[in-house]
Amino acid sequence: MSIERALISASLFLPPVIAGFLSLHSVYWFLPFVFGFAAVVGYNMKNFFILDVGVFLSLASYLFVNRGMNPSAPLNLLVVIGILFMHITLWLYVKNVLFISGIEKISAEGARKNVAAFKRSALNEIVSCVLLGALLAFAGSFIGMNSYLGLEVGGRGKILLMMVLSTSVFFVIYGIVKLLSAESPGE
Amino acid sequence: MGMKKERTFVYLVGFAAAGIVLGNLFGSPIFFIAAVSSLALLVIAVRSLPPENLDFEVERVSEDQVREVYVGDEFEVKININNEGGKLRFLEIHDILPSLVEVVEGSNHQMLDVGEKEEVKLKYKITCPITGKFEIGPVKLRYRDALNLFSKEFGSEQKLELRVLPRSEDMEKVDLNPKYTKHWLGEIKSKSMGVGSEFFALRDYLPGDELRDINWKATARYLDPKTNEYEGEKSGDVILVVDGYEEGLIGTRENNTVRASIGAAASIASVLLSARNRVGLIVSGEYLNWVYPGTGKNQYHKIMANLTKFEKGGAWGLEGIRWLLEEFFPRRSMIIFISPLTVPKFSETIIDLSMKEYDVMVISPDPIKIEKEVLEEYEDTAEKLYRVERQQLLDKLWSYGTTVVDWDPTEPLEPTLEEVLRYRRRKG
Repeated sequence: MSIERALISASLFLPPVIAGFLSLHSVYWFLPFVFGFAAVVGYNMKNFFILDVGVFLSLASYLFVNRGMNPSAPLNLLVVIGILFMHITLWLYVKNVLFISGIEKISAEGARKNVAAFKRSALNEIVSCVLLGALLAFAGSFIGMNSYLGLEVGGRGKILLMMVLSTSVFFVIYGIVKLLSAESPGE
Repeated sequence: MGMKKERTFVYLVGFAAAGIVLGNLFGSPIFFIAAVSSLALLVIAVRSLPPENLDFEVERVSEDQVREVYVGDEFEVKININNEGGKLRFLEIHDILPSLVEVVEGSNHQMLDVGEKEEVKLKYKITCPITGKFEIGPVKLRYRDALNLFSKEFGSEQKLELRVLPRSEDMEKVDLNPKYTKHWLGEIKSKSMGVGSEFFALRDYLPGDELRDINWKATARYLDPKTNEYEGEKSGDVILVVDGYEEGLIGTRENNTVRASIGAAASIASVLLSARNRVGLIVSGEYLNWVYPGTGKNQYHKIMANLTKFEKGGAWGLEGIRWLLEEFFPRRSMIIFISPLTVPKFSETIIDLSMKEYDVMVISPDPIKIEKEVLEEYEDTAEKLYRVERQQLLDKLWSYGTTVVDWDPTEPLEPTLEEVLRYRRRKG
């Protein structure tokens, strides 16, 4: 195993380890470790499916174990978003590394300069996108957590309100998808 | 040119949806944070979408749509990409290559940053270890954002056909002459008077004889004008029969008995044609390809093209070859079979033809040598048994008047062929 691969494997395993340590209060604390390990195996096997599923199950298990956490406190919110974006950054980076390794394999010596330049600029782009995304997510979640509609609802009414809000979010997602898949004029 | 959503995009949308469902299910806001985070990333990714006015011209730089190279030669592929639109940061260019083609310099798959109105010239060199027809292309271009959420594919369907010809061995020393000569000029001494350059006999001068043909020494001695007669130099018909039966093929895709046979056929065709013989070809593979005997560079080209498009197989029986030889090809020709002699039927056909009015020669690339090269472990007893069998078959062919060249395909053909031809000449 090359040093680069070992380093990437260790980095990929770092967020699940942190998530696991933050979940020690639960009997399911080991789940982020297990799925994080699966993601590392996926990376080393160059299998995108195992990598993707491992990362997402590691994230989902962390959220499930900590479902009782109150994210209204800014520190808690910061921890949750930090764990989420750490997972996502490394996942995107590793996917990119795997993609590039496919190109590098068929490139002769002279052509690798281009690939190395792409690797650097892609990493910069991933980091800047993820940082912006994290900022947006933090702001959105903080505002969401600390605002209310002024409606005094309880029990069943609260659940109904959440359902309505969820449905609206689904429509927003659908809207984004439609907007992005719209054909450009003249194409 | 539609925008394609990659699997990463699907995962993020799925994660957002799962966050909302699980948030409702468990009544926990932590899942909603996950959903919001996924949506935030999707919104940020919109920033790096490709410009709407993608305007590219992709052009393969080549004089012809079909190019010919020899096995092992390097060939430079050039592609010009002209960006008429805005700047693109992550443009993936992939010129699709067949699996057997190797890139020796540069790369057919690259990631580039292309500026506004910029022209990018992509160059790389390829080589091919085996003969055949190969298609280079199409050129695929794909824009993908750094997060790999969206991609847009376009490109050019322009393809380049690469014909990889067998490299013919330089066999200057080989004096391969058909036993039966025809009336047209060549380089084979016919042992009769005719047009040639070697002195054959003297005769009395006849009106119309050229002045340069008068033998002045003999004229002075006999006190009567004498003219030189020359030995006629003629040529013959040679038909190369290449055995491409799949059931008898030994070796790997790159290194096998058929590849060796094709190389030998190319070398022999080159030698025979340069000696002004008429050369024809029959290749028994997936199809029965044949070229009627002819001379010159054009004929060499035809033979090469047929050897290149050849595909191994065995749909055609040996009756087809015999029928072609007897019905279409000239009688009293020299037939050179190039075969590893692994298919018993093939040897029987050779014996049949040897007993007729043909001058038959067999050049047999030794399959054991190829098998030894490609296999890591080898059983000595099996080799010894096969050697005995093969030697018996070669002796049998010799006994029927066939000239047999037992060739080690890992070595050049010339020395072995020369040795056998010397023995043939001595034997008369």
